[in-house]
Amino acid sequence: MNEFRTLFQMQLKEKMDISFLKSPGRMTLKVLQFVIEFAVVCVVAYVILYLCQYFNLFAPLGHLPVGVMSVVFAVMFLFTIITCTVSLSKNLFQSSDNAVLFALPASSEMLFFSKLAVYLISEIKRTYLFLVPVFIAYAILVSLPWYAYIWIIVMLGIFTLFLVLFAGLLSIPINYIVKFFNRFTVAKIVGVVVILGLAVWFIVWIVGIIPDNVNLVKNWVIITETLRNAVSWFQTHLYIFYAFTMFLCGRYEGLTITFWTTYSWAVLLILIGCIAALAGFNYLISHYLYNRVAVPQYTDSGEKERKPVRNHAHKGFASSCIYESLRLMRAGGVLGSTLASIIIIPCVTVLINTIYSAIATRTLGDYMIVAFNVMIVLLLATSSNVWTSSVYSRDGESLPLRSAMPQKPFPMLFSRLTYSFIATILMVVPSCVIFMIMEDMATLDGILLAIFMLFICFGHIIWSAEMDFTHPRIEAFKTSGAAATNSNEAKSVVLSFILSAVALGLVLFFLLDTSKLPYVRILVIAAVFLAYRIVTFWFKSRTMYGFGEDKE
Amino acid sequence: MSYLVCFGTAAVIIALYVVFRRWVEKHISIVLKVLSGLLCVVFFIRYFGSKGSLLADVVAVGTNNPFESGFVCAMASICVWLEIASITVTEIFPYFEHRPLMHNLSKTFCLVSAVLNMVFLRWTAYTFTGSYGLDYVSAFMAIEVAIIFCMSLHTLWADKSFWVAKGQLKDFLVFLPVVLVVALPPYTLQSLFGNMGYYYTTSLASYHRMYLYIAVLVFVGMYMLLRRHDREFVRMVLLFMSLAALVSFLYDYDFSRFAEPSMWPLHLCCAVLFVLPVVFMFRINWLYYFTLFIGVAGAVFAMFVPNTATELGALSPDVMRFWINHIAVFALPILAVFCGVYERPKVKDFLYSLIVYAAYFLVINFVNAWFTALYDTSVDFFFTNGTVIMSVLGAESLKNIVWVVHLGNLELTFMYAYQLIFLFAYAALCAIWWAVLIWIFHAQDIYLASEDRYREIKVEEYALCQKYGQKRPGDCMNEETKDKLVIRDFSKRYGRNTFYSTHDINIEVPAGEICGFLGANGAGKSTTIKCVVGIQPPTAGTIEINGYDIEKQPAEAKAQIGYVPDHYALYENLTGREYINYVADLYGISKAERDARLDDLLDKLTMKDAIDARISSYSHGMKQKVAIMSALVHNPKLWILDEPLTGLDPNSVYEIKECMKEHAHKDGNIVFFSTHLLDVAETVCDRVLIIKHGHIIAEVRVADLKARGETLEQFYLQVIGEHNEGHSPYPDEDSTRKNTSHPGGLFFNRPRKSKQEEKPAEAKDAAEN
Amino acid sequence: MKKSSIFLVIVICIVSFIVISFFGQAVDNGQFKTYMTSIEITNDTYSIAGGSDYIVVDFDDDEGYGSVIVTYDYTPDDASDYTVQFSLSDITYMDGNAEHAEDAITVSGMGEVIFLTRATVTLTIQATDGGGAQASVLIICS
Repeated sequence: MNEFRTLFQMQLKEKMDISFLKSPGRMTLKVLQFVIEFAVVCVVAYVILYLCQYFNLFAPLGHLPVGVMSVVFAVMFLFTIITCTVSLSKNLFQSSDNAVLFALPASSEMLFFSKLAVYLISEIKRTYLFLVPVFIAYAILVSLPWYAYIWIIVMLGIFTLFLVLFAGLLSIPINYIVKFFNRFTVAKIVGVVVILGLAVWFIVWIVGIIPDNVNLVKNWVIITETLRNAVSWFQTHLYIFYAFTMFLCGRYEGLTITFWTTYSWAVLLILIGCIAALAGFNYLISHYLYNRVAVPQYTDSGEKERKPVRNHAHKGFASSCIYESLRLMRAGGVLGSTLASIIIIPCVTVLINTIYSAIATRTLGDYMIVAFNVMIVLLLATSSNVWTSSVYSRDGESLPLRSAMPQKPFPMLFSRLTYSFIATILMVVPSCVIFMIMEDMATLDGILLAIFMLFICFGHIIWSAEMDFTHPRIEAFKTSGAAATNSNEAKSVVLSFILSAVALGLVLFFLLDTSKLPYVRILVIAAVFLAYRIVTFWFKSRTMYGFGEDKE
Repeated sequence: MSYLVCFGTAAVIIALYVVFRRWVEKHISIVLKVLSGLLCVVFFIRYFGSKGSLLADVVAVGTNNPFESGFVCAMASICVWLEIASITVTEIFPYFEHRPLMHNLSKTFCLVSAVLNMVFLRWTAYTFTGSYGLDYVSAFMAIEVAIIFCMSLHTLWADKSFWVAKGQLKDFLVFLPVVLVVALPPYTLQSLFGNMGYYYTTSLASYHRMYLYIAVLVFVGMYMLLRRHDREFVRMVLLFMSLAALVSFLYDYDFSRFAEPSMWPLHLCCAVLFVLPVVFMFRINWLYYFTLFIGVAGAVFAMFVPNTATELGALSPDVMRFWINHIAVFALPILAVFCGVYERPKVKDFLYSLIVYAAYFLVINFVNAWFTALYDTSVDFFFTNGTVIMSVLGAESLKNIVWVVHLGNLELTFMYAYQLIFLFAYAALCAIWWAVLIWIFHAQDIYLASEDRYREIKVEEYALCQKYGQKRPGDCMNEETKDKLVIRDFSKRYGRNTFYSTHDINIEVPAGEICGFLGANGAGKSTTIKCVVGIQPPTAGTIEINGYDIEKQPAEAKAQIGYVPDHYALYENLTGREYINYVADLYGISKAERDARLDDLLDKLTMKDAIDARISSYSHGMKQKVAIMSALVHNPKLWILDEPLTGLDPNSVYEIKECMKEHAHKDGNIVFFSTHLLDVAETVCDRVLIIKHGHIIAEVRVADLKARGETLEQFYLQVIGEHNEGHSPYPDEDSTRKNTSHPGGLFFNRPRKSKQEEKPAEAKDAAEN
Repeated sequence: MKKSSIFLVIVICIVSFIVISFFGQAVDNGQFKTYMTSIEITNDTYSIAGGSDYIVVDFDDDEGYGSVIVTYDYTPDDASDYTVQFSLSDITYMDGNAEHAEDAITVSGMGEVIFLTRATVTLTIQATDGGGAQASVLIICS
């Protein structure tokens, strides 16, 4: 147990900043921050559930059946299990500290469980910030008794343990699959094509089932009936989620809710049994397999014969653009998420515009369609570029090397953004073309709108990158390879929301305004914004660039 | 007749000056202040004595033109404009007469304006009186013109030249348009150009937005103009602007309006407009912060929801007056704090402003209720006694919650619920505005720090060129340190540490030498090397590589260096060849040159087979070899290696040693490397430096050691041991280093070389002996 | 892409549909008005010989209520004003109690009839465009 505790504490300190525990003041602030975030999510969830109840979406008489919460729970479970499995897989098998940890006098299963325990802490935090507030909101809405709140909080904590153990078990085959794909490039390409193809097919299918004429007001009854039938179907066919939700939130008998029936204790026993079984499986697998799978292989055996490659010469700035883009494309995760965004954003555009086309709109509606299209495309594109807020820091230890090169800061820093610019063009332009065709927009207006969106996205990229080089987070990337918490990324996410909302407001405002050339006007505003960001970037690169130490 | 009054007044003033010249010159400051006070009184009586100007109804010198000729109307408009501008300048001139700008404005602009007004006096007076006869309004106008003429003539006489001096021309040309624009009467544009038609100037329509853009431009433009000036200058300009805005605001006020209390300008922004000149004239903190928090918030709100009538033209006097008032109330207090006239607000300043606001609120509510009851008409100063805001918010039911107070035979009605909500909601808005201000201050600090740094960089570049003659920034600056690595008085401190990692290091490595840098872990070797290659900036001292200063000419200095780092963190996702090509591109190496050099290096370091694999698949030694090849591909003048041999197999160690020797002996290159391996240093180096706790404690030629029959290991251990006895690990900044000698004439603690003096060669010999 | 961004996009898409449907939909100004000529109830019904059609609704004792959504179709399809009004009449309670609450049987604006007690009722759907089109059906909740 001592070994386990030592391993756990060592890794916890590495992955998370727990220094606030020593300072009462900081601890109070952290607790306050947590309470505020919890309250915000709770309020948002409450409002949404209240509206569903008010409009009798899922049941008459202002009633919100438990089945709705089971759908919410199932969706969140699905998301969580996927992200958990992917993160755990990276953490368990591809972490750079494995080479050190395996050299310590601890058994492989001890190591495995210590990593699971560390991950559990972060996952519990996420559960209590997202899943628990939603259920608490439901509890408030349906006026559950006071002990229900404690029950929900405790049971979801236990459920998180189940999730992590389940994800831990899944991570092993996933790791083998990943290694298989990494080893056989053809398989990787085929896999990617299949997944993207499925995604595109799914979107095409959804587009196909959208009716030609959508009228929310007229078809309200049909919509509510469909929703209720969907919930009923879910309750019947995915009973396991419904059962667990009843276990959490109580069971409806008539219009009253009953807690702690024999049923609940049975579910609890099953849950504990599952946890025990998963723990057992995890123990066995980690005992026999973990140390074989987890140690990184990096030495080139030298057996592979390679065709000799010629040297290529480029000019300084162009060379920076090419090689920095190449590095980013080959880095794990960036290319994949970029490709996914390039495919998904136009597909989403097709989907939403199919629905918009089915609504018979007047002029105001047409303007709203343009504005919402702009907002949604911008939100997706800028969110895909949030990683640029750590575009320099993710180099970790190799970042200061660039400072030794005879290149001025501005071209050096700016060249690294080339990849993002090109990716953004590939995301935004096809979406604009699709939108122009589907909404029968004038070509010139469409071009101006596309350039407007590109300018906003470029401005966001440059601003995020500027945050990184003025406040780098090199230390976090040096050790763990990916920052656990990065305030620059959080700021970049907020910035993307704000820019998208402002773009919506601008587009709608100028379209509704009686002045001429609205698209030219918004383009001018975007151009001024981009020019300002470039000038500030240049200025700060000259005066504030210095990658010696992390700055607060 | 008005001409007679004008010339007569001027003649009297000039005559008095001539007669009492000595006394006047001795007490010129008081005389000027008296004259400006007289001007102020005359202007006040004249301005409020007439019922505004006839020009207020003129549209594009056509409609309602009181003159037969459009030219005369236009000239009258312009003259009235110039007169108001010159009055405002003249009134504040005595208090800022030592400022060159004031002098230049007075002697040039005010004089020209006075002369023009003299010429067109008959017509400008007509615009205020409606007749060509003499009455007190036209007489007082004539006196005003005369006073301005005399005061500006005196300034001209004192300066002996009409023209503005060359060094003051820029300020004059920049601020003259500011004076003209700011002092523009609200009706001038309409009278000259028309009112641009009846367009909406509310509800964020085009012309409403135009005014909002102007408000932002005024603020940004004035900030850019004023930020480099001293506080007093800024105060002068802001005082002028506030006075001019006040005069513009009162364009159609006369004495009869002041007799009607319900027409008094008691709205918040109007009241603040009266307060602003007081605040800029006298230093009254609590009043100023009231304008900053409460006034600015109100102005912003009013600008977004203006209460001008929608059927007025975009340039009509009432619309112009509204915007002049609110832009002044918005921009001037913010400019005052941004340009340093007043300090940045603290919590207590905000609280004081809330107290003043509460007092104003109480008074206004009482006045509203009282005047409403007294005059049987709805008086709604600051919108606290009406339903304007209630109807916008859809809360008209609040008007029914009232409290009635009987005062004599008057019934004062207070909508207390609405007023209480208003009071607290407005205070909350001001608090939000303060949070925004804090954010803007933060942004300003970053911007100013960057700007200061940018100016420093420019100054350093210029100084460098000046110091070393007429060289361009890319040229080698210091011929004396050409072909050398020279480190002088180098010290480095990281972040907010109180101790120095390196302290007063002096190193000089000539061409063709291999210099080893020895020391324990944490001694300062890597710190020194990182500062030499430009990864870290030095805290003090200079580093010159082949005549280029690493701080002042970083790109040129780095082009002389090939650097092999200590941590093998390369670009893992590139192949070895791609990485080397990338580095070669940055150093501008041609394809032919890099092909030849790379082939040679690949042979020597036996990397031919693996060079096209990804760096992430390399072993430790292979990565080191790639780093070495990338450092040598451009044949650098200075090759720096930071512990290059750690963890390498014997073959690799041999290969790298050979590379180092070859590179140093070719073309007079320098090799400078740090290592823990004393035997390698002994076989490869010509000279060795030993560093401990950030100080160079010894320097020895390897040949000298060999001549004495001593090994480097023996020497190193002895030096380190002796140093442990004699020195504390973290000497403080002011301590002088002790020179301890060692048999064989070796350097310990090389004496400090200041930038002004060069250590003579004799001192070096003396130390050796 | 962050989870929060995906979630926000989904929410914005849904909000946009609702906003455009409610505020941006084309409105017929009545100039070329097409009146509803007939309304037909499309629920599954039973017929009594010689009588009108009726709809049967099950009363759920566990839940304590019974409900049915009455669906309808109107002609022509391009009627300018397709809004209708629902009303109840001829309520007969089956439980034998003399008094019942007013909201024992209600109908919503969307045609959902909710029975809080067993009863029969006649539901009438009437067009609001003034054309006079209407339809009735008997609903039995037992």
